[in-house]
Amino acid sequence: MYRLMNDDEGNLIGVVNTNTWLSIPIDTANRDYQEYLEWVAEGNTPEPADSL
Amino acid sequence: MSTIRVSNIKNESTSNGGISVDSSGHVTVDGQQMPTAGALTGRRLNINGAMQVSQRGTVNIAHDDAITSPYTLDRWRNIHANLDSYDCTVTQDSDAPSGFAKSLKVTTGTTESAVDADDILYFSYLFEGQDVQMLQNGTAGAKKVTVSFYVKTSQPGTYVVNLYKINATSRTISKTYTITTTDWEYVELTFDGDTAGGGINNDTSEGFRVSWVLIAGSDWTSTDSTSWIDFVTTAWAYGHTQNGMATNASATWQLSGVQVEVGEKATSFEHRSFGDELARCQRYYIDSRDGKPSSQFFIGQAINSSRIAASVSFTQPMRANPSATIYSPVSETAGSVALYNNTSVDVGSGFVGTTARFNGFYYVYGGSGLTTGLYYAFKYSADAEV
Repeated sequence: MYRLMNDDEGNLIGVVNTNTWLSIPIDTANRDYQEYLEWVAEGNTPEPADSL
Repeated sequence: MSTIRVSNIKNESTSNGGISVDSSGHVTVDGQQMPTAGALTGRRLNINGAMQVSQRGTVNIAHDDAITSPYTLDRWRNIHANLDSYDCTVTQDSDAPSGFAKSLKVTTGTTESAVDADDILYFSYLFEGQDVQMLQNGTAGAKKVTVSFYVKTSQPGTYVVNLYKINATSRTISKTYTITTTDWEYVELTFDGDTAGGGINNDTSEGFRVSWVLIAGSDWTSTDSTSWIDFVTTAWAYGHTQNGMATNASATWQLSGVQVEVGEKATSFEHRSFGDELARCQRYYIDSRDGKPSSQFFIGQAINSSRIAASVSFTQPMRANPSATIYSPVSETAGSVALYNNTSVDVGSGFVGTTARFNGFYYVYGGSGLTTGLYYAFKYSADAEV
Protein backbone atom coordinates (compact mmCIF):
# COMPACT_ATOMS: atom_id res chain seq x y z
CA MET A 1 0.00 0.00 0.00
CA TYR A 2 2.88 2.36 0.76
CA ARG A 3 6.22 2.76 -1.03
CA LEU A 4 9.12 4.81 0.21
CA MET A 5 10.38 7.72 -1.91
CA ASN A 6 14.07 8.66 -2.06
CA ASP A 7 15.85 11.56 -3.71
CA ASP A 8 18.80 11.16 -6.09
CA GLU A 9 21.19 10.79 -3.18
CA GLY A 10 19.13 8.03 -1.63
CA ASN A 11 17.71 10.18 1.14
CA LEU A 12 14.18 9.36 2.22
CA ILE A 13 11.95 12.31 1.25
CA GLY A 14 8.47 10.87 1.31
CA VAL A 15 6.05 7.98 1.03
CA VAL A 16 3.69 7.06 -1.81
CA ASN A 17 0.27 5.52 -1.25
CA THR A 18 0.22 3.13 -4.20
CA ASN A 19 -3.55 2.71 -4.05
CA THR A 20 -4.26 6.37 -4.66
CA TRP A 21 -0.90 7.67 -5.95
CA LEU A 22 -0.80 10.17 -3.16
CA SER A 23 2.69 11.44 -2.37
CA ILE A 24 3.12 12.07 1.32
CA PRO A 25 5.86 14.19 2.87
CA ILE A 26 7.92 13.23 5.90
CA ASP A 27 6.14 15.77 8.05
CA THR A 28 4.44 14.92 11.32
CA ALA A 29 2.08 17.86 10.78
CA ASN A 30 0.68 16.09 7.70
CA ARG A 31 -2.44 13.98 8.37
CA ASP A 32 -1.54 11.41 5.72
CA TYR A 33 1.92 10.96 7.19
CA GLN A 34 0.33 10.46 10.60
CA GLU A 35 -1.86 7.72 9.11
CA TYR A 36 1.22 6.15 7.51
CA LEU A 37 2.99 6.09 10.87
CA GLU A 38 -0.05 4.39 12.41
CA TRP A 39 0.02 1.83 9.59
CA VAL A 40 3.69 1.10 10.30
CA ALA A 41 2.98 0.92 14.04
CA GLU A 42 0.46 -1.83 13.29
CA GLY A 43 3.35 -3.93 12.04
CA ASN A 44 3.18 -3.20 8.33
CA THR A 45 6.23 -2.61 6.12
CA PRO A 46 6.37 -0.27 3.10
CA GLU A 47 7.81 -1.27 -0.25
CA PRO A 48 11.41 -0.13 -0.86
CA ALA A 49 12.01 3.13 -2.67
CA ASP A 50 12.49 3.89 -6.32
CA SER A 51 15.03 6.69 -6.65
CA LEU A 52 14.06 9.92 -8.35
CA MET B 1 -16.15 61.98 36.61
CA SER B 2 -19.87 61.29 36.76
CA THR B 3 -21.71 58.33 35.22
CA ILE B 4 -25.03 58.34 33.38
CA ARG B 5 -26.89 55.14 34.21
CA VAL B 6 -29.49 54.29 31.58
CA SER B 7 -30.61 51.20 29.72
CA ASN B 8 -31.63 52.88 26.46
CA ILE B 9 -30.91 56.00 24.48
CA LYS B 10 -33.32 56.74 21.62
CA ASN B 11 -34.42 59.57 19.40
CA GLU B 12 -37.45 61.26 20.93
CA SER B 13 -39.54 60.73 17.79
CA THR B 14 -39.06 56.97 17.37
CA SER B 15 -38.80 53.82 19.38
CA ASN B 16 -36.58 52.23 16.74
CA GLY B 17 -32.82 51.91 16.86
CA GLY B 18 -30.83 53.74 19.45
CA ILE B 19 -28.37 52.43 21.98
CA SER B 20 -29.17 49.74 24.52
CA VAL B 21 -27.08 48.64 27.47
CA ASP B 22 -27.92 45.32 29.11
CA SER B 23 -27.52 44.43 32.78
CA SER B 24 -23.99 43.19 32.11
CA GLY B 25 -23.02 46.45 30.45
CA HIS B 26 -22.93 45.04 26.92
CA VAL B 27 -23.99 47.46 24.20
CA THR B 28 -26.29 47.17 21.21
CA VAL B 29 -26.31 50.01 18.65
CA ASP B 30 -29.28 50.21 16.30
CA GLY B 31 -29.92 46.52 16.90
CA GLN B 32 -26.33 45.46 16.28
CA GLN B 33 -24.55 43.75 19.15
CA MET B 34 -21.19 45.36 19.85
CA PRO B 35 -18.24 43.10 20.69
CA THR B 36 -17.62 42.34 24.34
CA ALA B 37 -13.96 41.57 23.68
CA GLY B 38 -11.50 42.02 20.87
CA ALA B 39 -11.56 44.25 17.83
CA LEU B 40 -14.48 45.46 15.71
CA THR B 41 -13.20 43.76 12.56
CA GLY B 42 -11.65 40.37 11.95
CA ARG B 43 -13.95 38.95 14.56
CA ARG B 44 -14.79 35.71 12.78
CA LEU B 45 -11.97 33.33 13.60
CA ASN B 46 -13.15 30.51 11.33
CA ILE B 47 -12.91 30.33 7.55
CA ASN B 48 -15.79 29.40 5.24
CA GLY B 49 -18.47 29.99 7.84
CA ALA B 50 -20.93 30.86 5.06
CA MET B 51 -20.10 27.60 3.28
CA GLN B 52 -19.12 29.46 0.10
CA VAL B 53 -16.17 27.22 -0.79
CA SER B 54 -16.49 23.54 -1.69
CA GLN B 55 -13.42 22.52 -3.66
CA ARG B 56 -13.98 18.81 -3.06
CA GLY B 57 -17.61 18.81 -4.22
CA THR B 58 -20.00 16.17 -2.93
CA VAL B 59 -18.44 13.85 -0.36
CA ASN B 60 -19.96 10.44 0.30
CA ILE B 61 -19.49 9.11 3.81
CA ALA B 62 -19.96 5.44 4.63
CA HIS B 63 -19.80 3.44 7.84
CA ASP B 64 -16.95 1.31 6.52
CA ASP B 65 -14.78 4.12 5.12
CA ALA B 66 -11.05 3.49 5.30
CA ILE B 67 -10.69 7.16 6.16
CA THR B 68 -13.00 7.98 9.04
CA SER B 69 -12.27 11.69 9.15
CA PRO B 70 -12.69 13.11 5.64
CA TYR B 71 -12.91 16.80 4.88
CA THR B 72 -16.11 17.88 3.15
CA LEU B 73 -16.77 21.54 2.35
CA ASP B 74 -13.52 23.42 2.81
CA ARG B 75 -12.30 23.41 6.41
CA TRP B 76 -15.24 21.25 7.57
CA ARG B 77 -14.20 17.81 8.68
CA ASN B 78 -16.48 14.84 9.27
CA ILE B 79 -15.48 12.32 11.91
CA HIS B 80 -17.36 9.07 12.44
CA ALA B 81 -16.78 5.72 14.10
CA ASN B 82 -18.41 2.39 14.90
CA LEU B 83 -21.44 2.83 12.62
CA ASP B 84 -22.74 -0.47 11.24
CA SER B 85 -24.61 0.42 8.07
CA TYR B 86 -25.02 4.21 7.98
CA ASP B 87 -24.01 6.30 5.04
CA CYS B 88 -24.71 9.87 3.99
CA THR B 89 -23.73 12.53 1.51
CA VAL B 90 -22.35 15.95 2.33
CA THR B 91 -23.11 18.64 -0.21
CA GLN B 92 -22.94 22.38 -0.68
CA ASP B 93 -26.60 23.38 -0.95
CA SER B 94 -28.29 26.56 -2.13
CA ASP B 95 -30.91 26.36 0.60
CA ALA B 96 -29.53 28.84 3.12
CA PRO B 97 -30.74 31.20 5.85
CA SER B 98 -31.68 34.76 4.95
CA GLY B 99 -28.58 36.73 4.00
CA PHE B 100 -26.61 33.64 3.00
CA ALA B 101 -26.38 31.77 -0.28
CA LYS B 102 -25.00 28.35 0.67
CA SER B 103 -25.12 25.75 3.40
CA LEU B 104 -23.41 22.50 4.29
CA LYS B 105 -26.04 19.78 3.93
CA VAL B 106 -25.91 16.24 5.29
CA THR B 107 -28.42 13.77 3.84
CA THR B 108 -28.79 10.30 5.27
CA GLY B 109 -28.75 7.40 2.82
CA THR B 110 -28.63 3.98 4.42
CA THR B 111 -29.70 4.13 8.05
CA GLU B 112 -28.58 2.44 11.23
CA SER B 113 -31.21 0.00 12.45
CA ALA B 114 -30.44 1.30 15.94
CA VAL B 115 -27.86 3.60 17.47
CA ASP B 116 -25.37 1.52 19.44
CA ALA B 117 -23.64 2.85 22.52
CA ASP B 118 -20.35 3.41 20.69
CA ASP B 119 -21.76 5.10 17.56
CA ILE B 120 -20.56 8.62 16.84
CA LEU B 121 -20.68 11.11 13.97
CA TYR B 122 -19.88 14.81 14.09
CA PHE B 123 -18.50 17.73 12.08
CA SER B 124 -15.53 19.72 13.28
CA TYR B 125 -13.70 22.92 12.51
CA LEU B 126 -10.03 22.69 13.48
CA PHE B 127 -7.98 25.82 14.18
CA GLU B 128 -4.23 26.08 13.98
CA GLY B 129 -2.81 26.81 17.41
CA GLN B 130 -1.12 29.98 16.20
CA ASP B 131 -4.49 31.41 15.15
CA VAL B 132 -6.13 31.15 18.56
CA GLN B 133 -3.49 32.56 20.88
CA MET B 134 -5.81 35.48 21.67
CA LEU B 135 -8.03 33.07 23.61
CA GLN B 136 -5.33 33.02 26.32
CA ASN B 137 -6.36 29.43 26.94
CA GLY B 138 -4.80 27.94 30.06
CA THR B 139 -4.20 31.30 31.75
CA ALA B 140 -6.08 33.34 34.32
CA GLY B 141 -7.10 35.69 31.52
CA ALA B 142 -8.71 33.01 29.35
CA LYS B 143 -11.38 34.53 27.11
CA LYS B 144 -14.93 33.43 26.61
CA VAL B 145 -15.78 32.09 23.17
CA THR B 146 -19.11 32.53 21.43
CA VAL B 147 -20.21 30.23 18.61
CA SER B 148 -23.17 31.39 16.54
CA PHE B 149 -24.70 29.59 13.58
CA TYR B 150 -27.82 28.81 11.59
CA VAL B 151 -29.04 25.23 11.56
CA LYS B 152 -31.91 23.44 9.84
CA THR B 153 -32.86 19.81 10.20
CA SER B 154 -35.65 17.39 9.47
CA GLN B 155 -34.95 15.95 12.93
CA PRO B 156 -35.75 18.61 15.55
CA GLY B 157 -34.40 17.89 18.98
CA THR B 158 -31.43 18.44 21.25
CA TYR B 159 -27.92 18.42 19.82
CA VAL B 160 -24.47 19.27 21.16
CA VAL B 161 -21.67 21.65 20.24
CA ASN B 162 -18.39 21.17 22.03
CA LEU B 163 -14.98 22.81 22.24
CA TYR B 164 -11.82 20.73 22.45
CA LYS B 165 -8.22 21.66 23.17
CA ILE B 166 -5.59 19.01 22.48
CA ASN B 167 -2.24 20.44 23.70
CA ALA B 168 -0.78 19.71 27.14
CA THR B 169 -3.79 18.34 29.04
CA SER B 170 -6.60 17.72 26.56
CA ARG B 171 -9.72 19.57 27.68
CA THR B 172 -13.32 19.84 26.56
CA ILE B 173 -16.57 21.67 27.27
CA SER B 174 -19.98 21.18 25.68
CA LYS B 175 -23.35 22.88 25.37
CA THR B 176 -26.66 21.69 24.04
CA TYR B 177 -29.03 23.47 21.71
CA THR B 178 -32.58 22.46 20.92
CA ILE B 179 -34.14 22.76 17.49
CA THR B 180 -37.92 23.03 17.58
CA THR B 181 -38.87 23.43 13.91
CA THR B 182 -37.80 22.12 10.53
CA ASP B 183 -36.89 25.60 9.30
CA TRP B 184 -33.69 27.61 9.75
CA GLU B 185 -32.99 28.49 13.36
CA TYR B 186 -30.30 30.75 14.79
CA VAL B 187 -28.21 29.52 17.71
CA GLU B 188 -25.79 31.39 19.99
CA LEU B 189 -23.66 29.48 22.47
CA THR B 190 -21.15 31.15 24.79
CA PHE B 191 -18.45 29.07 26.46
CA ASP B 192 -16.31 30.08 29.39
CA GLY B 193 -12.59 30.49 28.88
CA ASP B 194 -10.45 27.63 30.15
CA THR B 195 -7.95 28.74 32.78
CA ALA B 196 -6.44 25.27 33.22
CA GLY B 197 -4.94 22.57 31.06
CA GLY B 198 -1.64 24.09 30.01
CA GLY B 199 -2.65 26.30 27.10
CA ILE B 200 -2.43 26.03 23.31
CA ASN B 201 0.85 25.66 21.42
CA ASN B 202 1.75 28.56 19.15
CA ASP B 203 2.29 26.53 15.99
CA THR B 204 0.58 25.25 12.84
CA SER B 205 -0.81 22.08 14.39
CA GLU B 206 -4.31 21.65 15.77
CA GLY B 207 -4.81 23.95 18.71
CA PHE B 208 -8.55 24.28 19.10
CA ARG B 209 -11.59 22.49 17.73
CA VAL B 210 -15.31 23.23 17.57
CA SER B 211 -17.61 20.27 16.83
CA TRP B 212 -21.27 19.76 15.98
CA VAL B 213 -22.53 16.32 17.04
CA LEU B 214 -25.17 14.65 14.85
CA ILE B 215 -25.11 11.07 16.14
CA ALA B 216 -23.93 9.87 19.54
CA GLY B 217 -24.53 6.65 21.42
CA SER B 218 -24.57 6.45 25.19
CA ASP B 219 -20.82 5.84 25.45
CA TRP B 220 -20.33 9.47 24.39
CA THR B 221 -22.91 11.19 26.58
CA SER B 222 -22.44 10.06 30.18
CA THR B 223 -19.93 12.56 31.62
CA ASP B 224 -21.00 16.10 32.45
CA SER B 225 -18.93 18.52 30.38
CA THR B 226 -20.96 21.67 30.85
CA SER B 227 -17.81 23.15 32.42
CA TRP B 228 -14.25 22.64 31.18
CA ILE B 229 -12.96 19.18 32.17
CA ASP B 230 -10.03 16.98 31.25
CA PHE B 231 -11.02 15.21 28.07
CA VAL B 232 -12.75 11.85 28.23
CA THR B 233 -14.68 10.38 25.33
CA THR B 234 -17.77 9.96 27.51
CA ALA B 235 -18.03 13.76 27.74
CA TRP B 236 -17.95 14.43 24.01
CA ALA B 237 -21.71 14.68 23.50
CA TYR B 238 -23.10 15.23 26.98
CA GLY B 239 -26.80 16.03 26.70
CA HIS B 240 -27.18 14.95 23.07
CA THR B 241 -30.46 13.09 22.59
CA GLN B 242 -31.54 13.40 18.96
CA ASN B 243 -30.16 10.59 16.81
CA GLY B 244 -32.77 10.79 14.09
CA MET B 245 -30.10 11.48 11.49
CA ALA B 246 -28.90 7.91 11.99
CA THR B 247 -32.21 6.09 11.87
CA ASN B 248 -34.30 8.00 9.32
CA ALA B 249 -33.63 7.60 5.61
CA SER B 250 -33.29 10.94 3.78
CA ALA B 251 -32.99 12.83 7.07
CA THR B 252 -31.20 16.15 6.61
CA TRP B 253 -29.11 18.50 8.72
CA GLN B 254 -27.81 21.83 7.42
CA LEU B 255 -25.38 24.39 8.76
CA SER B 256 -24.39 27.90 7.69
CA GLY B 257 -23.47 31.32 9.03
CA VAL B 258 -20.99 29.88 11.50
CA GLN B 259 -19.05 32.47 13.45
CA VAL B 260 -16.60 31.57 16.20
CA GLU B 261 -15.48 34.70 18.03
CA VAL B 262 -13.91 35.93 21.22
CA GLY B 263 -16.30 37.37 23.78
CA GLU B 264 -19.57 36.54 25.45
CA LYS B 265 -21.96 37.93 22.84
CA ALA B 266 -22.49 36.93 19.23
CA THR B 267 -21.99 39.83 16.86
CA SER B 268 -23.34 40.01 13.31
CA PHE B 269 -21.83 37.49 10.93
CA GLU B 270 -18.73 38.94 9.31
CA HIS B 271 -19.21 38.37 5.59
CA ARG B 272 -16.19 38.07 3.31
CA SER B 273 -15.87 37.86 -0.46
CA PHE B 274 -15.63 34.49 -2.19
CA GLY B 275 -12.09 35.33 -3.30
CA ASP B 276 -11.05 36.12 0.24
CA GLU B 277 -12.53 32.89 1.59
CA LEU B 278 -11.08 30.79 -1.25
CA ALA B 279 -7.58 32.16 -0.66
CA ARG B 280 -7.85 31.38 3.03
CA CYS B 281 -9.12 27.85 2.28
CA GLN B 282 -6.24 27.20 -0.10
CA ARG B 283 -3.80 27.39 2.75
CA TYR B 284 -5.22 23.94 3.52
CA TYR B 285 -6.38 22.43 0.23
CA ILE B 286 -6.15 23.20 -3.47
CA ASP B 287 -7.40 21.25 -6.46
CA SER B 288 -6.73 22.14 -10.11
CA ARG B 289 -9.12 19.63 -11.69
CA ASP B 290 -12.06 20.66 -13.88
CA GLY B 291 -14.90 22.42 -12.16
CA LYS B 292 -12.75 23.65 -9.30
CA PRO B 293 -12.23 27.34 -8.54
CA SER B 294 -8.52 26.99 -9.39
CA SER B 295 -8.95 24.70 -12.39
CA GLN B 296 -5.99 24.69 -14.76
CA PHE B 297 -3.35 22.31 -16.08
CA PHE B 298 0.40 22.51 -15.73
CA ILE B 299 3.21 21.68 -18.11
CA GLY B 300 6.61 20.13 -17.65
CA GLN B 301 9.35 18.58 -19.78
CA ALA B 302 10.39 14.94 -19.58
CA ILE B 303 14.05 14.63 -18.66
CA ASN B 304 13.94 10.85 -18.95
CA SER B 305 11.32 8.13 -19.37
CA SER B 306 9.98 8.47 -15.85
CA ARG B 307 10.51 12.04 -14.71
CA ILE B 308 9.00 15.40 -15.66
CA ALA B 309 10.68 18.60 -14.53
CA ALA B 310 7.90 21.02 -13.68
CA SER B 311 7.81 23.98 -11.37
CA VAL B 312 4.45 24.29 -9.64
CA SER B 313 3.80 27.05 -7.11
CA PHE B 314 0.72 26.86 -4.93
CA THR B 315 -1.53 29.91 -4.96
CA GLN B 316 -1.08 30.17 -1.18
CA PRO B 317 1.76 28.98 1.02
CA MET B 318 0.20 25.95 2.66
CA ARG B 319 -0.07 25.20 6.36
CA ALA B 320 2.40 22.31 6.17
CA ASN B 321 4.08 20.26 3.50
CA PRO B 322 1.01 18.83 1.75
CA SER B 323 0.19 15.44 0.36
CA ALA B 324 -0.24 15.71 -3.40
CA THR B 325 -1.85 13.75 -6.20
CA ILE B 326 -1.10 14.09 -9.93
CA TYR B 327 -3.95 13.68 -12.44
CA SER B 328 -4.11 13.34 -16.20
CA PRO B 329 -5.85 16.37 -17.73
CA VAL B 330 -7.60 13.95 -20.11
CA SER B 331 -9.42 11.57 -17.80
CA GLU B 332 -8.31 13.05 -14.46
CA THR B 333 -7.06 9.59 -13.53
CA ALA B 334 -4.79 9.74 -10.50
CA GLY B 335 -1.19 8.90 -11.35
CA SER B 336 -1.42 9.59 -15.10
CA VAL B 337 -0.29 12.53 -17.24
CA ALA B 338 -0.89 13.48 -20.90
CA LEU B 339 1.24 14.64 -23.80
CA TYR B 340 1.03 18.41 -24.18
CA ASN B 341 -0.73 19.52 -27.41
CA ASN B 342 -2.15 16.04 -27.73
CA THR B 343 -4.14 15.88 -24.57
CA SER B 344 -6.53 13.16 -25.69
CA VAL B 345 -4.75 10.10 -24.30
CA ASP B 346 -3.52 9.34 -20.80
CA VAL B 347 0.17 8.55 -20.52
CA GLY B 348 1.57 6.15 -17.97
CA SER B 349 0.45 5.39 -14.46
CA GLY B 350 1.93 5.70 -11.03
CA PHE B 351 3.16 9.26 -11.43
CA VAL B 352 3.36 11.29 -8.27
CA GLY B 353 4.56 14.75 -7.37
CA THR B 354 7.84 14.82 -5.56
CA THR B 355 7.23 15.46 -1.91
CA ALA B 356 5.75 18.89 -2.03
CA ARG B 357 7.06 21.80 -0.02
CA PHE B 358 4.56 24.10 1.59
CA ASN B 359 4.82 26.41 -1.42
CA GLY B 360 5.02 24.00 -4.36
CA PHE B 361 6.81 21.08 -6.03
CA TYR B 362 9.24 20.68 -8.89
CA TYR B 363 9.15 17.11 -10.26
CA VAL B 364 6.56 14.61 -11.39
CA TYR B 365 7.99 11.10 -11.43
CA GLY B 366 7.45 7.44 -10.74
CA GLY B 367 5.60 6.24 -13.82
CA SER B 368 7.03 5.25 -17.19
CA GLY B 369 6.54 5.75 -20.92
CA LEU B 370 7.69 9.35 -21.24
CA THR B 371 9.77 10.51 -24.19
CA THR B 372 12.75 12.60 -23.17
CA GLY B 373 12.43 16.21 -24.28
CA LEU B 374 8.68 16.19 -24.88
CA TYR B 375 6.31 18.29 -22.81
CA TYR B 376 3.59 16.75 -20.67
CA ALA B 377 0.50 18.17 -19.00
CA PHE B 378 -1.00 17.31 -15.64
CA LYS B 379 -3.25 18.57 -12.87
CA TYR B 380 -2.88 18.15 -9.14
CA SER B 381 -4.48 18.40 -5.73
CA ALA B 382 -2.62 19.18 -2.54
CA ASP B 383 -3.87 18.67 1.00
CA ALA B 384 -2.41 20.24 4.14
CA GLU B 385 -5.56 20.21 6.25
CA VAL B 386 -5.17 20.19 10.00
